[in-house]
Amino acid sequence: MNKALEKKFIGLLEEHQNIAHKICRMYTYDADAHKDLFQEITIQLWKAYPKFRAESKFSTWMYRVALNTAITLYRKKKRGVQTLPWENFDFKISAEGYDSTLDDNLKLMYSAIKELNDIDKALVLLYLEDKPYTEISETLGISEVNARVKMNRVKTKLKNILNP
Amino acid sequence: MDELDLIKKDWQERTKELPKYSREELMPMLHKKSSSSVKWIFIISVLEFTFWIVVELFAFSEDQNDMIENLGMTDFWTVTKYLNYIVLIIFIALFFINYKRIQIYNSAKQVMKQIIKTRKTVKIYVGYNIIGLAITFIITCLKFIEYQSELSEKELWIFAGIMTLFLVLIIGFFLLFYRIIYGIITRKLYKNYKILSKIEL
Repeated sequence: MNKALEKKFIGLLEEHQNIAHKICRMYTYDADAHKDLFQEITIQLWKAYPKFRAESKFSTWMYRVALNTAITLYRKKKRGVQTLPWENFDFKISAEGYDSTLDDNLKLMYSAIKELNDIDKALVLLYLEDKPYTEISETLGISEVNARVKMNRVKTKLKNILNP
Repeated sequence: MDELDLIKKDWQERTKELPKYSREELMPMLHKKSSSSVKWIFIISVLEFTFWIVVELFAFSEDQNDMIENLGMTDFWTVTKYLNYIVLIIFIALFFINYKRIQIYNSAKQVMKQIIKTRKTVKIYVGYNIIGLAITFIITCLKFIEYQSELSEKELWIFAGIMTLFLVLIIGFFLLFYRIIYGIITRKLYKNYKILSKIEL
């Protein structure tokens, strides 16, 4: 593939890399796995990029490719125990970064989200990102009504964890 | 305020704390090798086709021609041979068409559906081969029993028993192979596809 295309893509990737990082944060438990998934997302984006049409927003397109990589293509490399107890990762990507003065409720919520299945995680992620239901439904391939219903169920599930 | 809205604020604030790679760091990432499940499905599928082509070539080797002729099965084997080649070409074409249709930027459900379809093509082909193998095997054994005159009835039963065991072992091997190889690669994919499909019910 030509250099100009590569340059343009790297520019877009640098600008929008947060999208991939957020998905990695949602789906991985440690810095190594985060990097690993980020790497795979980058490969998939680059492979699909020649077919990217400017009629859709790059960010929307990137959410799709990155989420699909996380929930369908990505295979965890075996690296010891994968589900670490909450205390051990504090929802951190690495040791530096997030402060640990999270309010207890938030902590509880984050750990509850980490326990969700891949699809519910995708729903929550898109919701936290303030995506409209039309985009959520198109990204996952379910109807808008069903996306709403499912989201409400996830909300109730999380609420019940907070107020047992 | 909704519990999730609380976390939404926090989540969005945390965007600032995400890692940030420079262009120089991102560049080499583009050319690394993918380890995606689709890539593995592709590799394994190609190996499966190769395997069956090799089996086919061996099955119709010169040594066996005499035996086939003695059993009066020349026509049967010739027809099977050409039929197998035609079926193989059709399946390889279908496999590539389905594989090409996997577009990672489609909706999650579509992507999973397409991957499963690609997989299924190969699965059906292998199923066809195993059934075909079993049928030709059984017919050839029956013909052999019909034409031979030296073995006693007891010996014939032993022969039939050994052949049945052999067939069961072959089929068992393939089933195990599928459980292990594809189980590892597609477990997550099938699980997520099931969840997504359930939402639509």
